[in-house]
Amino acid sequence: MLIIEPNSPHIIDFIKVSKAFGNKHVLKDVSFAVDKNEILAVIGPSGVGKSTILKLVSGLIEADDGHIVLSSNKKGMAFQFGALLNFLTVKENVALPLRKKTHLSNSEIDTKVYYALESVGLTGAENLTPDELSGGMQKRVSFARAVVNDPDIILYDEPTSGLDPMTSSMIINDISHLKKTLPAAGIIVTHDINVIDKAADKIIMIYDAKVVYAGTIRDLKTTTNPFADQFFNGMCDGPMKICVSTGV
Amino acid sequence: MVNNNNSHIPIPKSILSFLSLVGQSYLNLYKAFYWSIKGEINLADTIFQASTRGVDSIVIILITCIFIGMALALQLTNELIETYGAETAVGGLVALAITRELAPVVTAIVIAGRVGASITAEIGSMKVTEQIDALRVMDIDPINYLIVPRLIAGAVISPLMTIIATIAAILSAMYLSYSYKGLNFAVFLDSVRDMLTMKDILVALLKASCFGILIVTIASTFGLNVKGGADEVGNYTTRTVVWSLVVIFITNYIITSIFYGV
Repeated sequence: MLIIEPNSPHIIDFIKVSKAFGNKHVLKDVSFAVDKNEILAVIGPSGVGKSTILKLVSGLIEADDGHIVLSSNKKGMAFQFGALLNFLTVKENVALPLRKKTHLSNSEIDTKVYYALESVGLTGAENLTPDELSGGMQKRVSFARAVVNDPDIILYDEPTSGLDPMTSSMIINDISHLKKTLPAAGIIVTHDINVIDKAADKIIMIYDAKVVYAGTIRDLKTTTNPFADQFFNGMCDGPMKICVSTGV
Repeated sequence: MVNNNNSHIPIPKSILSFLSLVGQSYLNLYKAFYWSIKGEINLADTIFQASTRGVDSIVIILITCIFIGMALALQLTNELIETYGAETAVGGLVALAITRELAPVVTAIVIAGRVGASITAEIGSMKVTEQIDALRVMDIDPINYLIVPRLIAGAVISPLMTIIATIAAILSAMYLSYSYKGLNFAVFLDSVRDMLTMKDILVALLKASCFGILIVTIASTFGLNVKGGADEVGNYTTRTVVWSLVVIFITNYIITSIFYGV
């Protein structure tokens, strides 16, 4: 159950949350908390339910069991492939949450949109449509749309997947910049060690529907946790059964 | 005595999916009416939808109805003039058949194929590319933002297209009757005036509005239900057209039986 509780001690409090799709349990009694100005990275092999956490926090799906307590309902989400409305321009996409959910004047909206686009280095692209943008630019417009309403919670879904190293680096800089300028709590779902290293404050690792590792970024460098060790060293041998033998 | 062994009778999957479609369509329609009554309508998008969807369909509707009118006139002029000598009935009977049944139903079929399919494809693509999720995260109801403008457009363009289709079909029938059997325009039009009533026109417009609303509701419901990738969008688009046709014919019978039943 998603609960908005302004007096909650944490911005995001995930309490013993379980979620199954059919017979497949993707989360079982998962708990964690994220505070103000803190970014949590959720890592783990593909298909273990990392994005499910984002969907639960954003309210797109409901938990089967447990509670998700948020101190605010002001959320922004940067989607894996941008998810920009393809019939709107960049400016209209970023302005959409302001037009629909605030009573700001047109000039105030224009100003906020300008600063949001400037924060992700996309001034000058206002009148382009999503199909005129590269994948990286679409993600950055998605960031701008996610933060234009000054949210208390920002969710990032695979922010660097499918991008070249230079664009990934720009995206990571964008996240770091947003973290400094916007006092929000964030969750990043990623596989990218660079994102974790430069943007996250702490991480949890999901495997077999459970949290198998939780710690700060500093802990990560000295951890002896076999799951974290296997994941970051890209090994087939270890507690996670993710490698399929080809018989060769 | 209670028989515990056969307490559950399995319901075929097709019936369950039909009932699910009906339930979801009803809910979406209810929400769309709620937003419309609340006055939260995106007028610019509504006008855009009505104009583009109307322009998309008008040529196909005109071609279809002109040929239907001519085919009908061919059949009736042969029978009525040669067999019964009832040339004063040709125009009236053509107009009745076209206004009461053919124009609203044929227009709805074209709208289902042209507009319904495109709405499912459009909203389905938005669903698989997470654009619908993005709206929900922004706390924007997709029914209000996307469906209401299309629904109002459907309710408006369907009667308008039906009027145009009716006029085109009657005029084409009149021209064919003249060129084929030499039936005078004045005789044809007098017959139309004598037999066609205001009730026929109003019921036709009511039918057209209902068809427009139902097509958009079904199309939107299928669009919002698309799961998986882009290939599924094609499947759901086909389902939209099939189910729209089924619903059009059933609704047509119900409205006809209400207004013209014994």
